[in-house]
Amino acid sequence: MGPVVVSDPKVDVKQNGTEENPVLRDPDVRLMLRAKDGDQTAFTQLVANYQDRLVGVFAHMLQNKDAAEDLAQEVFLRVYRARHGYEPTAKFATWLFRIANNLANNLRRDAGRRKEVVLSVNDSGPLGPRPGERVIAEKSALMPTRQFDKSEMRNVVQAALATLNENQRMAVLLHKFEEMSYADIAASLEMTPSAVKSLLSRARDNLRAILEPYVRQGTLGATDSTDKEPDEESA
Amino acid sequence: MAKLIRLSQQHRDDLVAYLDGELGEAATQEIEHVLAGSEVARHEIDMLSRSWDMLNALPTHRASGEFTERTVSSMRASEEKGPRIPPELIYRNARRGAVLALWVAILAACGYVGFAATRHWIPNDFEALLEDYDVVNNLDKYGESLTPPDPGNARHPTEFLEVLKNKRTLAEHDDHAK
Repeated sequence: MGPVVVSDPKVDVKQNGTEENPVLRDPDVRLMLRAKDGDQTAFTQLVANYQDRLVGVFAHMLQNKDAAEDLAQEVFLRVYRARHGYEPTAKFATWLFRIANNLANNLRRDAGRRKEVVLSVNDSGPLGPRPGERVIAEKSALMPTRQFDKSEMRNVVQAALATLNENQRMAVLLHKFEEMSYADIAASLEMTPSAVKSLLSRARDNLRAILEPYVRQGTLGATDSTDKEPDEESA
Repeated sequence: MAKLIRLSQQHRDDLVAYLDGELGEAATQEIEHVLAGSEVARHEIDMLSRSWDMLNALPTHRASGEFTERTVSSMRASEEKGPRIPPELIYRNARRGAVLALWVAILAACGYVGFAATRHWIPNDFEALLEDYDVVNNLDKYGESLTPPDPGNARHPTEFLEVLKNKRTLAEHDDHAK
């Protein structure tokens, strides 16, 4: 899932001051600098490098693959429009996911203004359990008597993820699937690393509280990542 | 008894950071000490780790085949057209701007009318003072003229006027008036 490293003979490390600025060692930063200079193929390469990663994160955030693709496209458009003012101050992925997070926040705010139903907030509202919590409750009722198959387990984990608030979920996704450090997550979410530490701790506490019964049932073997089928379901 | 001790929130945060390899050396040693002495902590870290592994069950979403092409095309289209601003956004902002401009104009008009009315109708003490400015400014000279050098030899009022005339005090005032 990592970015495709494109070696670029035109970019001379010393000439570009990489020794002074370690950020310039990031191959995607260099691609972005080429895009800034008008190189369309460099930008196309960036889109190819990050499209699955962005769509993956947004699909888990929004639980809707089409909306995830639209949002990912909007992120790339914003990056493209902002390319002339781009300054390499952080890893490209950090910068990209900061834009993605801001866009997701704007979408949530707009949805809130339109008073749409928000799927995932941490606690149950006055109308009772939210859909994610209902799925867990339904599954819990069945749980003691049998093992879960893969798709059931996936639904349970998706539902557990949906009970996290937006920041917790984004932090979990960036850490788990993007393998970002606390410092990089902090830069992406515009927080301090210690705030990210608390955020992830609470997120993982919540996940543990929900998933512990399934762990105890010994269903973990069914969750091996090698068993995964890409795009089995776009929720 | 150590196994029954509840973990503090700080310890819980540190357990997660420990699992993630994000703890400093001293904190790592401390949390390892806690783990060695607390069954609760060992159970907690085991559950945290195994529930985290369960996230591997989540589906992997990939962008559709034409995503790159579609995105690049829309970038080119956006560059040709310039930034896309929805018409309703333009209308909404224009309406807001017009309302704002109207309020500014109304406030400016009210301010001007208020200022003009105040200036015209309400007397200003300072204006009278300004009118008598020359007299006030020359008060010392008038006092000097009225005070006789010899107290036994008081001057007549005409003498005072003559003194003023000789000192051209009134002429200065007249010049100012002109």
